[in-house]
Amino acid sequence: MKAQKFYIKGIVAISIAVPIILTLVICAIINGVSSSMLKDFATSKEEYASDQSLNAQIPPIKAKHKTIEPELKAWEKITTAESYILVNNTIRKAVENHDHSKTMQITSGQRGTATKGITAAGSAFALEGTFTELQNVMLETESKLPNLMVGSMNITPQRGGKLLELKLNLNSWETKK
Amino acid sequence: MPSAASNKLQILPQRFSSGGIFLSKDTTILPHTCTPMDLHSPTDLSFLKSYKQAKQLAKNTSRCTNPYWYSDALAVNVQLHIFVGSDTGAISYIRNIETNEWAKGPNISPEMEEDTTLLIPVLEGIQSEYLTDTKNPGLGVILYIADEFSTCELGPDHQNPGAIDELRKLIKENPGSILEDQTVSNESHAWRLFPYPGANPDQNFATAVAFTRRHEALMKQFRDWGNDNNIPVRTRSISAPLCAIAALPWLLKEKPDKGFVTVYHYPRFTVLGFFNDAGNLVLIRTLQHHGGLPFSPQTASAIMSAAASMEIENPNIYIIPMAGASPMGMSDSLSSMLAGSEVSTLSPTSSALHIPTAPSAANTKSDLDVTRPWKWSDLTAQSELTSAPAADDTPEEETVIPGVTRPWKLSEMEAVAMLSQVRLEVVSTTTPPSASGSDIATNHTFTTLVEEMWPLQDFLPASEQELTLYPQQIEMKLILWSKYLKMAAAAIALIILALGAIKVLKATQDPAWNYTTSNPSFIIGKFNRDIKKHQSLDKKLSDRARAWSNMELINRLFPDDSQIRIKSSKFSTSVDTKSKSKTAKPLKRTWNFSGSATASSREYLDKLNTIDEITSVFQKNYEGTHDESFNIAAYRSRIPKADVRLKLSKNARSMRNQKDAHIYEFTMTITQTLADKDPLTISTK
Repeated sequence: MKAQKFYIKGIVAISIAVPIILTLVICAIINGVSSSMLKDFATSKEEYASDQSLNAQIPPIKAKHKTIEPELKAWEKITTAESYILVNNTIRKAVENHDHSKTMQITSGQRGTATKGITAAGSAFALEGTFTELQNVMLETESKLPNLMVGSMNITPQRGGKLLELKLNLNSWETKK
Repeated sequence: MPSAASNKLQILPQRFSSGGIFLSKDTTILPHTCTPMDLHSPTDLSFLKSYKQAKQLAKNTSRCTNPYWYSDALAVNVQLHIFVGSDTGAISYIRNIETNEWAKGPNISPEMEEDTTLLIPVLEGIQSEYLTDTKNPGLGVILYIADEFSTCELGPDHQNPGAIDELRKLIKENPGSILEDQTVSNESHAWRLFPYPGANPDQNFATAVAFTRRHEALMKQFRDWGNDNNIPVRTRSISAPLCAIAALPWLLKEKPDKGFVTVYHYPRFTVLGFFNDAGNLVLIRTLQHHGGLPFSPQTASAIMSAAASMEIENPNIYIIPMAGASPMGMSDSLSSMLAGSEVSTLSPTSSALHIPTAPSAANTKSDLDVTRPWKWSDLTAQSELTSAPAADDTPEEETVIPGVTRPWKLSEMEAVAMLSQVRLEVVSTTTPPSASGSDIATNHTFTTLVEEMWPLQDFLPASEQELTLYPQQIEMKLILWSKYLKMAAAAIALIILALGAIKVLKATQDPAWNYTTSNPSFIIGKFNRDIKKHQSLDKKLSDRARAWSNMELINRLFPDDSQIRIKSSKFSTSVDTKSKSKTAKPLKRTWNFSGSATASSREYLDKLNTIDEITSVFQKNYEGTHDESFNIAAYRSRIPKADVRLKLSKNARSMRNQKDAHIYEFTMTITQTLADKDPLTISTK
């Protein structure tokens, strides 16, 4: 007589299926909790590693930045200022500094147009002086304002005098603030 | 109606008291812990309660671990073989497979059958002697029923050998439906089919054998005691005459030349077995011994008529006395009545009986560690009895089993040989007929009987109600395995928890835990933007056209000792707006000079008109001013071109004789283009 298995459903359900399901649920919960904790950590870790890598890059860049920073600030200052005013003031100051003959003068100064094809501010000046004085004035001016580029420059002897007349059309490179 | 061997068809009540054990549909058993367990039929229990009951059984019994709970009685290590042959009680033998020993067992008195509680001390004795020091205790009880034997023919509608499996099932459930006598039922009698595998197609292919259920309570008491004491007791109630028929090859070494009849003489009845010329069994008849006669007077006539109907002419008659000595006068009676037949007596105590034994392989585990069904063919080992059994010199002694004295306790070979002097049937349960080496053992009848285990059919198995009460082996195994499963599941959960905790702990130790960024990329970005801006401005503010360096160029072009007078100097820059380049536009620089020169300075002006000289002047101007636009060596594209045009002045003739007179007028044009890959081109970005 072959006996039937009357207990097997209960045993399989409670002894086998329930522990497996319970374990899966517990594992899922543990996994879920740890994953959620570690997910933020993974992000932090990636960020940390990335930052570490970037931080390692900072010193040489910072050193380089340090070297260029004063120059950059000066350049930004002159390229963002009102060009004509700045050039005018600089030339006047340079003339004061180099007018050894006491004959040197700025005969005209005005805003002008930039050279065709160049996006820059234009200004025009006319000066009188000796060759050396004029060269020194321009040396000082261009040293202080490296954003200047000569559009045209005419040097001719002063009519009825011993001095030279220098006519300048200057382009001033500008940048946005 | 079956021809009952016994008129005492006593049916003991199904419900009976057994000490403190209540046996019913719902039963109470006492496990080792002596805590009563109320068992209910799982069919009446809820899902959860049936599980709890199975768990209780798994916890309080050895059903999970002891395979004998699910073994065949003949496969259990310790076996109690009981022979019931008369009203005076039953004799028994205890067989221990592990130690290869047979020993005398307790007598099972009729009182024990009446009051089965009397059996308990006997079982306790067996337990004490055989089952205490073993890892898996168990007792197989084999009941050889020789006190009754009834047969009944199958109905004419059921003479189909092809339906034998269906008939085998039906005869257990509803014997009246397939038997000639349709009034029979399985309530008072247990019915089993017994085939004639070698019968001709026109002969009956099987007969039905019946017993009363009078020993059912006894067998149940064995099983219940086992349940109460957490010892598996497996039972098998078999027909002793069927076993004796199966053991015929041990008596007949060679097949007779013609058909023959075996006359198994038991105290209460005689079983006639009819074998055809091929040695195949074709008919079983039984004759009851009425009125205190030692044998039935109709024996000869029954043989004569049945042999004639089976077309067996003058069969040899073999009388096999199963009750000890051959009944007085039987041989003579048969010889006189059956003139053409040779009548002889085969003694089951003959020394020709060589009874090899073999360990049972029935407890071999299947793949799922579940005990597989026992097979007769598990008993396969062969050996020869090398000497006659020797008398045991051990003096008689009392044993722990009540009423049992030990005249002998012999090793396997000797014991079986000795047992064979007592009971032929034991041969059938310990050794298959094929081991006898007899000619007839391999014929169709005996081969089929062995393969299909017809002689060993259990007539009194546990009821369905009893079987239902206890979980099956696979169910118990599942509970056992579920323990490991739960442990494994807990371990997995703990490992995952530990791994998770370790991960989190390691993470908390990491400097990145709760890290808040300092935005280095922003800092780097700012620096890079400044650097890029600086680079851009540096390029933008390059020395493309400086006034002071151009004035220095005039100095170098026309030094004081050159005797050249400059009237005008013009310098201009222009952007080539038509250039195709989208990123940079070429810058053209032009110098225009006009003036006068002496005759001696003409040569110098001519020299300036060459590329080499004008380039040299530009390069020297670069070296003096560091104005990159004059650095011709860096970019060959910057090479200037000069165009000097000289002509005599209008008043040159008048000044011809004046020393250092500026008799020449000249114009000089120098052009230079900063183009291509020159960084001084005008960026359009």
